[in-house]
Amino acid sequence: MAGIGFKLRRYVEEGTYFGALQGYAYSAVIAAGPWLISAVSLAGTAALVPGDMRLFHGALMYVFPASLFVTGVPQFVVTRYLADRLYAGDASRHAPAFVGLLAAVLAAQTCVGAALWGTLGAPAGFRLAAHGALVAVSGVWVAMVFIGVLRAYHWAIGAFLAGGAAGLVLAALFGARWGQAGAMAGFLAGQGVTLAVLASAVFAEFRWEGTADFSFVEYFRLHPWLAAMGAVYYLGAWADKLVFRFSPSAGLVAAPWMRVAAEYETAFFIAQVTTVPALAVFFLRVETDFFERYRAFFGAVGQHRPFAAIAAAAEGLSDSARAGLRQVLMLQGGLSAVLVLLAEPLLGLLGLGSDGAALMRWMLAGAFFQALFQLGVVLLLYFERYREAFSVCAAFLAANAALAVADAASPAVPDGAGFAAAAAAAAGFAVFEVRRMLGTLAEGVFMRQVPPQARLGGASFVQPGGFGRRHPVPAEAHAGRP
Amino acid sequence: MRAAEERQPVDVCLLLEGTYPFTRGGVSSWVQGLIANMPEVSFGLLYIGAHYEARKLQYELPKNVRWLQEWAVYDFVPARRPGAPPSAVGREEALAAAARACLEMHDGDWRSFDALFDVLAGSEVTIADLAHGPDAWRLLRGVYEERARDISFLDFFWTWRFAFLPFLNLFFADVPPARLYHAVCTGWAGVLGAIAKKRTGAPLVLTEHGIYLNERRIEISQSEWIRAEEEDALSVRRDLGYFKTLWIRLFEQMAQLCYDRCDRIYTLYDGNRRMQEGFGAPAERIEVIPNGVDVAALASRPARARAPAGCLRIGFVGRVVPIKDVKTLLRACRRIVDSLGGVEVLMMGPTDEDRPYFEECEALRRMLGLEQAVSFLGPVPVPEYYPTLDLQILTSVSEGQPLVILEGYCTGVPVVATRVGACPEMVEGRPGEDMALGPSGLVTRVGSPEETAEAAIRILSDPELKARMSEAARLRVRMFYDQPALVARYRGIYALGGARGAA
Repeated sequence: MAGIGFKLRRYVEEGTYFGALQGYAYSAVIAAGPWLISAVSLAGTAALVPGDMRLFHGALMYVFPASLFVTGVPQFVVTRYLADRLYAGDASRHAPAFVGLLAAVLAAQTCVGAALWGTLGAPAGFRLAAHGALVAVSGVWVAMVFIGVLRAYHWAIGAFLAGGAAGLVLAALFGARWGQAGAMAGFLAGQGVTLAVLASAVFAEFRWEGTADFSFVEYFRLHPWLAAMGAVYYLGAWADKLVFRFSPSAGLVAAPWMRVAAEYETAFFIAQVTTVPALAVFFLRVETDFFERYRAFFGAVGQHRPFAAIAAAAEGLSDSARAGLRQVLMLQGGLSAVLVLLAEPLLGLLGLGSDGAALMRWMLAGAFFQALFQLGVVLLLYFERYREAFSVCAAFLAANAALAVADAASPAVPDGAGFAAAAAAAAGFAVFEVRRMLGTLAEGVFMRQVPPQARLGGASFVQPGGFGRRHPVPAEAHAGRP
Repeated sequence: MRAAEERQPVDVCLLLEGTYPFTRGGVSSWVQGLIANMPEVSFGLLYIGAHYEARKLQYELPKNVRWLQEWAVYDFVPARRPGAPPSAVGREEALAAAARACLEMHDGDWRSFDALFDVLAGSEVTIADLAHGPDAWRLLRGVYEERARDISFLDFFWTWRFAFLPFLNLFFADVPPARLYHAVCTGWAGVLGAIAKKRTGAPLVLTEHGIYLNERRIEISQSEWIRAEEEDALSVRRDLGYFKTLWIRLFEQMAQLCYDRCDRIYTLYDGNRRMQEGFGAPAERIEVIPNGVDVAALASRPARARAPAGCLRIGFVGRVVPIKDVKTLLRACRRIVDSLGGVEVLMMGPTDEDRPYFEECEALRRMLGLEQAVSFLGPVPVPEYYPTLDLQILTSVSEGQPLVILEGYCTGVPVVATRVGACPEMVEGRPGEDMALGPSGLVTRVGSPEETAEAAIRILSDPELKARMSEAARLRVRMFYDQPALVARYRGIYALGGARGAA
C-alpha cells in the first residue's frame, strides 16, 4: 500500500526562481534606444517635409502612448512567461506566442483605433494611415518583448535604424505627393520595415509551424501584480503630458479631441534624450558585474552551499546593485545638473527660443528622477518583487496625474514643476523599496513561493474545525439513522 | 444536509492516506468491503493526499458514508482558522514553541507533540505565520543555525518545506467529530488520528496492511533525489547521509507517535506484527486480523470445464510482473512437465502492466518448449477456474497477504508458495488451532525453480497428501479467513467508540 508517495523530486528540481530574468533590463533599455531613434526620425520628418505637419505630429503624439498603454499590459507578464519557458528548456511555443500576442494586440488596437480615429475630424486617408501606424508601432513593441528575451540587442538597433531611415525617406517622398496622409503612410511603412526585421529575428531563432498560442494568458493569473504593474507603468509616465494637453496652453490640432501641448512635450522629449547615458551605464553594469554576482548568488543557492555562502553572495549582489545606482546618480545627476545650468545655450543650440528655459530645467530634473525611478523598477522586477513594483508605479501615476492637474491649473506654479516633483517622489519611493529588498535577498528567494491559491481556484478550504476540502457524498440524508 | 447535522459525530472516521476512495488497490477494496458490510454503522472518510487537485471517485460510496473530506499534506491554506478561541497563547510564544518542537523533531524526539498541540490550539497563529513571511524565515533560520549550519541550505529548506512544515500544518486540519478514529496506516494519517484523539478523547485504532514506515525507509534509502551530503575527509561517512537520515527519523517519529496513542493496533499477519514491535509498537496492543474472503460466494461459483482426464491442472493467478517472478515459475514448470507428463499450467492475470517483462516470459516459454503445456490467459474471471485447479503456485519475491491463496482455499486448492510476507503462515498455519489443521501446501525458497518444482511434484504425485492439504485448505479459510468474521471483528472494535448499531 502506498502512502502519499514521494512527489517531492519535482520540487527539488524545479527552481523557478532561477529563471532567466534578463528580459526586463533589456526591455527597459531597449525601449529607450529605439524610442530615441523613432523620435529622431519624427523630428527629421518635420525638418524634411514642407508645409503644415501639425496633424502628423499630433497623431503620432497619440499613437505612441496608445500603443504603449495597450502593449504595456501584457509586456511584463509575457516576458516572464517566455523566460520561464526558456529556463525549462522549452522554446517551442515562443513563435506561436509571438503570433498570438500580435493578434491579441491587433484586436485591442482595432477597438482603440475605432474610438480614436472614428471620432476625429480629419481626412479619411490620413485616419487610415494613422490607424496603420498605431497597429504597426504596437506590433513593434510586441516584437521587442521577444527580442528582449533573446537579448538580440544588435538586431533591435539595426531594425530601428533601417525602419527609421526608411520611414524618413518614405515620409518625405509621400509627404511631398500626398501631404500629411502621405507622410503618415511613409512613417507607417518605416515602422513596417522595423517590425519585419524584428519578426524575422524572432522567427529565425524560434521555430514556427503556423499556429498561434495563448498559453501566456495563464501568467496573468499567476502573477497578478506584474500584470497590474504593466497596466499602470506607461500611464504613469504619460499622465502629466495627457493632463497638459487639456490645459489652456495646449492647442487643438484636430477636432474634437486632438490637443497637443507642443512646448511642454518637446521640452520633455529633449530632456528624455539626455537621460540615455544613465540607462546605458546601468545597462552595462547589469550586463557585466551585476549579472556575474546574480549568477553567483543563485549558484550558491542551487549548488547546495551552506547558508553562510549564500548570505555572502547576497551581500556581493546587493553591493553591485547599490554601486550601480550610485554610479547613475553621480553620472547622470552630474550631467543633468550641468544641463540645467546650461538650459539657455542648449535651447539655442536646438534652434528654440530661450523663453522655454524654465520649463526645460524642470523637465531635465524630472527626466533625471524618472530615469532613476525606472531603474529602480527594473531591479524590483529582477527579483520578482512584483507587488512592490506595482506600488511604486501606481504611486507615480497618482502623483504625476495629481501634480500635473495642480500645475496646469495654477499659473503661479511653473509648468513642469509638477512632473519633476512627482518623478522625484517616485524615484525616492523606488529607491526605498530597492534598498529594503537588497536587505532581504535570500529571504525573498525562499519565502516567496507562489501560494497555492493560484492553483486551488475558488474552492473553499475552511471547515468548522480547521481546514480541509469537502467532497459531495451521494448518501441519502437519513439512511441508517437511528 | 443542514450545517448542524453535519457536525453530528459519525460512528467511525476512517483516516485514509492515498487509498480509498480515490485510488484503486487492495487496501481500498478492503475498506469498501468493510463499509459495505456494516450498513448500520455510519462512516466519515478523511482522505489524505499530497495536494488539492481534481479527484475522481474510484468506488461507489455506500450509503452509510456520511461525509468525505480531504486533507492535502503539502498545501498550506493561509487563512485564519475559523472559530479559533481568543488567544491564550501569544504569537511569540507560539512561534517559540514551534521552533522548540522542530528542534526536538530534528533530534528524533516526538514527545513535543503534546506541548505543541496545546500551544497551537490556544493561539491565533496560522500555517501562514509558520511558512511565509519574516517570522517564518527567522524560524527556519533558527533551526538551521542550531542544527545544520554547514549543510546545504537549499536541501534543508526543501526538507523543512516538505517534512517539518507539513507536520506543523497537521495541527490546523479539520478532523470532523467521530466516536472512533480508525487510521489505515501510520504516516500522516496516523498523526491526524493522534490529533483527533487529543481533541475529542475518542479512541484511536490502527490497521496496517503494508508497514508504512518500512516502505518509506526503503524508498528513502534508495531515492536519488534526496541529497547525500559529502562528509569532510576527517569524519566517517555515515551510511545514508544527513538528509536521508533526517527524513527517515521524521517518519519514525510519526509512526511511533501513532503507535503510542493507539488504543489498539491491528495488522494482517505475524510477520508484520513483529515488524511493528520492532518499530516500537507496544506488543500487548497488537493483534492480527487477517484479510478475509467471501467463502460462501467463492465456493458456490459455477466452474469452468476441468482438464481432460488424466491431466493435472496447475494455476498461477497474478499480474505478470517481475515482483511475481514468473520466470522462476516457468522454469519450474519445465521440471514438473518432465517429471509428471500430463500437466497443463494456466497463467491467469493481466499481462499488460509490464509489457517488456511479459514478452521475455513468452520468449522463455518458447525456449523451454512449454507452448503446449503453459498458456497465458490474460485477465479472466478467476473464481470460475479455482474449482478446476489441482494446485496453485506462487513464486513472488515479495508479498503481503495474497488473497488468491485464500480464494483457492475456498474450493480446496493447495498452494506452493515462496517464503515471503504472510505466505508461510497461510500455508503452514499460525501457531495454535490453525497449525493443528496441518499444512495446506508447501513453502519454498525465493528464486529456486528446483525447490518449487520439487514441492509441486510431491503434492501432485501423492493423492493422499493432496487430499489432506486440500481439506486443511478448506478448513483454514473457513475458520480463520472468512470475511464475515473479519467484519464481525471490526464491528466489535468499533463498539469501543460506542458506535450505535455496532454489535
